[in-house]
Amino acid sequence: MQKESAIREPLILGDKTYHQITEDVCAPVEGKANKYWYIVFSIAVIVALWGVGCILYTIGRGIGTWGLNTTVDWAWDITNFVWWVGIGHAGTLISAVLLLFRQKWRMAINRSAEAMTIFAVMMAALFPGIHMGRIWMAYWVFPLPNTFGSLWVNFNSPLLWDVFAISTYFSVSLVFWYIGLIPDFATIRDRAIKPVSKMAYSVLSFGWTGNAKAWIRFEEVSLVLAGLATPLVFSVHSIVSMDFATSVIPGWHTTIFPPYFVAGAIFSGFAMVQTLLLIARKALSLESYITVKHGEYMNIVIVITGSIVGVAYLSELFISWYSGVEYEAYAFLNRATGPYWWAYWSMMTCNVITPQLFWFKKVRRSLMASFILSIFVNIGMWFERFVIIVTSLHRDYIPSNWGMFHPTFVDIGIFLGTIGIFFTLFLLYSRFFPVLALNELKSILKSSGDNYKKQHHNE
Amino acid sequence: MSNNKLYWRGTEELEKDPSFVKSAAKEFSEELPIEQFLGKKELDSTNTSRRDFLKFMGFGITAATLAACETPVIKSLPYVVKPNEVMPGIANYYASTYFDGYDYASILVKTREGRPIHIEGNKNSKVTQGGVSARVNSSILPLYNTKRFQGPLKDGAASTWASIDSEIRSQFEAIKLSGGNISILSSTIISPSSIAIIEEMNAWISGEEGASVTHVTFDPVSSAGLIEANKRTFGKAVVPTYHFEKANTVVSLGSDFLVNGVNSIAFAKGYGKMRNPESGMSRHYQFETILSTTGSNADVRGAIKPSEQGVAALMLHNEVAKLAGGSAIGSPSISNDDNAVVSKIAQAAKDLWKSKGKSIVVSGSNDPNVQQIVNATNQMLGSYGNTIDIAVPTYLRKGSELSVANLIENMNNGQVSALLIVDADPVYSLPMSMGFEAAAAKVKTKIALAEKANSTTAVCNYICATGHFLENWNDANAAGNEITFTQPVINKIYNTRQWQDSFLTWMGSDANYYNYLNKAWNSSSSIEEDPNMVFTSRWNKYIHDGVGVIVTPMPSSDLASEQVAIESDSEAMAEMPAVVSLTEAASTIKSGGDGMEVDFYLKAAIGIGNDADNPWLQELPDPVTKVVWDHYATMNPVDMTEAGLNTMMGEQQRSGMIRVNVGEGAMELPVVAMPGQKRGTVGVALGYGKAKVTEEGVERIIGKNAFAVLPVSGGYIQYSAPCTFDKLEMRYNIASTQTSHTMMGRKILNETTFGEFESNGKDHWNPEITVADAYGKQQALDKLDLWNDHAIDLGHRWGLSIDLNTCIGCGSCVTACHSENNVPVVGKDEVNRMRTMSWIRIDRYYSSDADPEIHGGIDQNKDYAAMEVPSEYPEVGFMPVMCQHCNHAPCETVCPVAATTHSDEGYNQMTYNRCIGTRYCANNCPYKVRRFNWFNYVGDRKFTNLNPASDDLARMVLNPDVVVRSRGVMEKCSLCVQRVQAGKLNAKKAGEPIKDGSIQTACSASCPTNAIIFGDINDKKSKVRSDAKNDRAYHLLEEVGVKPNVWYQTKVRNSIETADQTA
Repeated sequence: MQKESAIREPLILGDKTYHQITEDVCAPVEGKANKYWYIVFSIAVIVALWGVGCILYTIGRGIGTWGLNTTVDWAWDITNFVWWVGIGHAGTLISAVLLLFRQKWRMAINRSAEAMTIFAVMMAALFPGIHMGRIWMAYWVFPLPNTFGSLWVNFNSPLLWDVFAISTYFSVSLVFWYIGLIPDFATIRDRAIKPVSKMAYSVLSFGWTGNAKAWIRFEEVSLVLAGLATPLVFSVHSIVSMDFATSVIPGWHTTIFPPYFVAGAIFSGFAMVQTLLLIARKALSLESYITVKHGEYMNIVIVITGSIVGVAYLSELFISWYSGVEYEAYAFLNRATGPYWWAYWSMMTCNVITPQLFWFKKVRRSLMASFILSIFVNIGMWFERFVIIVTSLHRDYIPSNWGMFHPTFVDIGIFLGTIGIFFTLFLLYSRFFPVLALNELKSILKSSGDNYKKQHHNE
Repeated sequence: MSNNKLYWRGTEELEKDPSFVKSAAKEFSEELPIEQFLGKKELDSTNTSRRDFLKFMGFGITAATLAACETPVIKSLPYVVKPNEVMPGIANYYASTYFDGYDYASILVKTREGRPIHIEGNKNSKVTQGGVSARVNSSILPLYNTKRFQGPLKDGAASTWASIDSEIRSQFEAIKLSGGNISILSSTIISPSSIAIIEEMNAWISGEEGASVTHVTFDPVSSAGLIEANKRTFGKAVVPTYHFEKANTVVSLGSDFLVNGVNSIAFAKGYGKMRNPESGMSRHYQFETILSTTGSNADVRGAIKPSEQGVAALMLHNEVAKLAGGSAIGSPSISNDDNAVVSKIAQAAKDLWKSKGKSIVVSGSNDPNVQQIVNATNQMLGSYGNTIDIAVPTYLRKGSELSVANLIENMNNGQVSALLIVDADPVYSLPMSMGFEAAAAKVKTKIALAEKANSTTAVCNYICATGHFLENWNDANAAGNEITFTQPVINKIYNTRQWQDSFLTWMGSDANYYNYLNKAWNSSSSIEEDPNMVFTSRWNKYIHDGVGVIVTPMPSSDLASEQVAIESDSEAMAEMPAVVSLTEAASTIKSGGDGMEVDFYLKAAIGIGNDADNPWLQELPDPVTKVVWDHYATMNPVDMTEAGLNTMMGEQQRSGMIRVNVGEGAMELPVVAMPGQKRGTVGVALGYGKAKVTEEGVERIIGKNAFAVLPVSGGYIQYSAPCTFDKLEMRYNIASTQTSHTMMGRKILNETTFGEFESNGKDHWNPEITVADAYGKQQALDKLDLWNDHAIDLGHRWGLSIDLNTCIGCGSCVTACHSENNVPVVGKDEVNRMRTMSWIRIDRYYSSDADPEIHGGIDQNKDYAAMEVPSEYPEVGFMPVMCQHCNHAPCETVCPVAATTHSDEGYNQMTYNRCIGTRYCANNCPYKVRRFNWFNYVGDRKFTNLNPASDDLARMVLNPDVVVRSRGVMEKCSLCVQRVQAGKLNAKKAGEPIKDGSIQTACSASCPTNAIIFGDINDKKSKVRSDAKNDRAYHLLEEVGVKPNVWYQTKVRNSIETADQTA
């Protein structure tokens, strides 16, 4: 059996046994939800319904219900899209990349991170749909054989690349997540008493038997999928960034975008995982599994990716001046000092300055500080997309076109609504799905479990 | 025998197999399970009865029938007998004439399947020369206005022609017998036949009892001062004809002659001809209060207070006199000259004198004394007979406030038995102080002959609906010896009757106006004779061409004194011809001092407000402020900042409000910043606050009526007054299509001075754009292109050339485009949200004090914040921008569904049906000319009262060649592809190559100064090709590398150079 250095902090705290892990993880699924869950769930559903109402209103009446205009043709819609896609990056990164790098600490967080990814990508995928003027023609973006003669999609368009990138990423993430869930569903199935849940979980677990052969295949599939998903982590946000980078608009037309967007995506994704798990560990009593050390690991990723993003911001500023292009120089000067200066400086503060506090070990290991700073990052990353999209568009080449964007209640409603839908799904997930990869977790109990490590040490 | 021959079916039969024999008699050899099937008990137990079967069948048939029905039902009735001239899909053009008492144009009306849909200029006319203005080409829409009078009314209730005719006729008979007076108050009438009818009425009514007809003409914006001055100077009470096309130096003292002059379309045509630096470049001085459209085009502009109009005229006179060796009159001075007006006037005088005989001075003043001084100046300059033709009068303004005042006096004295108001709204457009409304109450019979409801029709007993001009016949003698005809292009939509027909009916004449016209011109020997033609074919030719020439022009004195001849009671007129000497005139002129003054001006779109209810005109941005749908006061932004008023515009930049106190009256208005307006003044537009009828009754069309507060001085209405203003604690949303006003030091509207243009090469003022390659070497753009070229040298390649020098910013192209391309009207709120749908916009830029010397390039230290602020008295430039039809269009590459593509003929074409509305193309357009259908503008409740296409009748104005775009798709300028296709077909039918100029886009056809040239760039002889190769030609944002098919010609401002000042 693999042994771990004693000075490495344990990943599972307390005196846990295999059975205890099963009990802990299955408790929320098998037990009854407390009233807090119901309160939070109700709020989430109400907000979600409000968002759905706003979406239906948009589809019924037109994009004119939003605050967009002739100058700023994308604003909150694509901001939200990129924000959600970015958030959707952490899950696959944690499960795939960290799996390949044999990072054991991922086991406590990968399930929820992946769930978050799935839900976030669902929210993201909503926006390119509803932002269309004629959503009922949305299927035209797929290269389908059709009766329109030789009419085909335009493979030059980054929006088309988006369609492929997002749909591929979503399907691979979903499959990866589901494969991981199978053994854990089987555990719940085996423990289930009520016939309905037994039936449901036995369907969900695909007749998992848990024999050695099944486990071998499980691990092989996981590796293959991790191999497939890893390039996707980098490709999706690179392609999303090309929506902007391939255009001619100053502030969008930037070669730095693909790596900068990927770093930003990981940054925001980890922040959202941090936000969610810090709540979940308290609410679901998973303090032994999602430890301070886990938080610290994630904070390290946040501070590094945040610094990359910060370097990208500064490079952009420098290059805009260095390029000698009037429009480019003005676009960035306008971001910092123009009418949207507050958005730019919110972005700078939340993304570049505050995460630097994580260099301090005390801050990094403080759960409260982690939580607050993760919220800052979530806000900052939303502003980053808003800044890129709106402040580039609102003052581009010809001054007579310059204008402002003012959101309407529908813009706000849809954004909040997606947060509502996201939390509704996540809360349902936390009640019906094993929130930790319990069977995987058991594999590190003896090497990284607190009591076992102590035993080893004492030996 | 053959009969006995037997065939057997098989060996079984031959051998008489028992099993075969048994089944031989049966039809089917095997047992069919019929019994078994019918014997099933289940069938008996089902409860599908025959009734049910019938029910289901009935439902099925009904459902199938209903599914075949289409909703909504669109009725389309074919012709039973197709008229010869109507060919479905082919447009017919009819010549006609527009005159609403204010604007005049000879026009062509495009009709499709009997529906008039578009108005263009008639090139046969020597007066307007094919020019139109925004107001003229928008006048097609009111034809389909459901709010206009649909029949005669008596005391506000619908009536019939027969009943009101008999009542009016009996009243007239009574007046005739009792010796009363019938007064006719009309706007200027330029129809000789109409005047003849009025004279005929006078002859009919006057008899032994002393009954009379008085005809009083009045113009809401009067030229009576000018007419009086000409009477004093030349003894001719007329408006002369101005020839701007002959003027090398133009000095305008507060006259907005390009859009609101006496004959602005003709003026703009002439002015445009002298704005070509290659062939003839005039220098235009403008001294005015607000920044008018004309003033925006000036080479040198001085801002003065309205009260200093006369002072400036006198100063100019004295300066010219100095050069001419004459004597100065008085010692005029301008107080607080903050923009070097005095030296500009001196320079203007020098230039005028230098181009003696080719100079013109015009004034917008209605003070005869000021006009008399201007006349004297023009006399010294030898303008008369050269640039001003007093012998060829313009008949478009004949009104006199003095005779109106006289009429009001008569009305008050009870001397007017019946008042007929023809095509005029005196209750609205006469100053309150003249007391017309009160006087009208004393007249028993008031008959309004009007097209639509207004303040005046509200006080009349009888309303005779006159209909739209395109439903009526008329003739017009606008100027000189040209006669133009108005012919109806559609059957009367409502139960209306033109006023001339009403007059004829009341006089008991059998003739209708058409017969009358026909007869008048038949019997008239004054119309040009062509000996080879009989009259019918001559008449047909006149109607066809729209234009005829009067051989012996009607003596001008006859027409102008028409009213005087009839007005036997007019004491005022009798007193008028007093000789006023120039010194006497000058002695009345003095500056208004330091107090706040209000300048009442006219807007390019609304004018005097005749069509203020026309949504196309309301949505046309004002050329200078770019504000739509609103009435506002203007002030210099420096004054506004001092008063604590917001100078910014935008969706959430609400304007401050002020109360302007003028004499007894006051108006509460929002304030809009107008750089270039003289400090210490407020500008208020006339033409707003007109009454319209809604379901709730009469309401005002946007804003306040500024006519009501106009002061009257010496009998002449004055268009300025001393005023005060109070800041109100209110905010108001103003919608503007342009909220940033300066060019930010970029090469957008490329501009140079005439001196620079003359003395230096293209490299100085329109240098070729180069871009640094990866090694820092400056390269031509072609060298750095990533993309392969389209085959642009093959076939046609349509393009535009836009001359920024001749564009006057009037907006005629914008409304023409709306009309041609079914562009929706979206209303104030949508414009405020920056969602205007116009396919062509006119950008207006102010210069800023912080503008860098050289436009473009970042090597200079720029204060961007300061560059956003226009100068206190800026220079102005106009730039029409539409889709640039890029050969490397950024919109085309980004559309995921290939809905926007490049055509073989150079268009960037938009396939509405394929568009899914991602708006990526609009984001990626550097020119931001793409327009998204944010709503269903036809069906959405927000646009029910705005967009003509929402209304069943107004939908008739839509061009059937252009689809009405649905919600959620992108649209933009198509370069009028439907016109090009039609032009190509015509050429094909004729078997000839397309002639340059035979195809015109709506914008190029409607431009009164020919600033927009359309053509085939691959046609070696085309104007657009030679323009594209011109030294002044450049592409907007050439450095982006999108290779547009639209060229702009550098603006050349004939500024005062050092060399001029010493000369």
